[in-house]
Amino acid sequence: MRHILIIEDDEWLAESYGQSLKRRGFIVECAASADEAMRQIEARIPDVILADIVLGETNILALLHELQSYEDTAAVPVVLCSSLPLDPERHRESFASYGVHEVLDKSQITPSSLAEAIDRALREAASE
Amino acid sequence: MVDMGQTGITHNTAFEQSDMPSLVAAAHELKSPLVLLRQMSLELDETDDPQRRKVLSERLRFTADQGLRLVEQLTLSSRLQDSLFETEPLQVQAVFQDLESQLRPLASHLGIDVSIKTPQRPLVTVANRDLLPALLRNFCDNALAYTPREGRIQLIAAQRRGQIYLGVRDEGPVISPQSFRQLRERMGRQPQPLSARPRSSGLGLWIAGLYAEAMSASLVTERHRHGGMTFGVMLAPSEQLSLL
Repeated sequence: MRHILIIEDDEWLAESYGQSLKRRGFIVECAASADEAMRQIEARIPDVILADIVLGETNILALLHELQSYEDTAAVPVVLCSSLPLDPERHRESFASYGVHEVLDKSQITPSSLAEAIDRALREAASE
Repeated sequence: MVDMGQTGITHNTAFEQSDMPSLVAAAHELKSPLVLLRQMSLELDETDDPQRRKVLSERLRFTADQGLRLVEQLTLSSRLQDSLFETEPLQVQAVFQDLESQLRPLASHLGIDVSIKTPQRPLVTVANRDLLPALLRNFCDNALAYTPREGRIQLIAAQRRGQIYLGVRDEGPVISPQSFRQLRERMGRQPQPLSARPRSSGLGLWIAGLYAEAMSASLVTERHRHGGMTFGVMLAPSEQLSLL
């Protein structure tokens, strides 16, 4: 079973993403902050990370930068989601060096599109 | 701005009417509940679990209410310059009791306790009967968003330096001293995000500042050494108070 870590500070949104992904066979854990995420990653390295871009005092890039620096987490694929008005294609390219495979617009996500994006990220990471 | 000595309380007395609401902040604050509504409704479509459906149904209602309150607050804010919001004597205890009964369902869903702390002697303030509850509800929504499960929100009333102080104390993250100083300097004058409270754009506090100004009141805030913050308002006492 694929293990996903959701990093999202809106508890209800994280829970809803998590429920949808559990129904599709993922093992889901949630973290509300970068610090909590790092503690969970140290306890168990996930197969994939789904994260909101804006995360309080540290944005997600600080955490991803740290993960990229460790040999055991550098290859963990990341899918970002955000309410910010982003150009997903352009930002996917600019975040690629942080292990980001896709950038999703929260206002467009559906349960199946979310699972498909995560599956794609896992497949791409496996083929790299 | 007046710093009240060692109390850690700051008054914002110089609201600048020229400060315009940030449309970006308003759009961001409205987008969050809409995104959540959309996601939960999609989940509701695909779950057969009756318990989960019940939770989702409640959360859909709470989230819709949150979005509607924000729209109502923005609408009320836009009327402040055109309308006269008359003030009148209001019983603090009654205002708090109404507020507590409004908060109870969501607080209970979130596992948060709500309590009222008022002096034995009844307090009567002079305020607008629409703006004051909306201002306090605004503080309460902030408190509910950041107080952890099993935590407590207190509605606090007191007489301080001849004025009526009404505050909402939460058990959420304490902002850094630097952010607090910045908050005190700019509080209520423009939307100001607090990094320790990332879901807030500061729009609610900015709206509260507008309401306070319309009632000739001032916003106050305090940090608490062992966690949490209080956001409050200083209002004029009613003449009736001196008769009690």
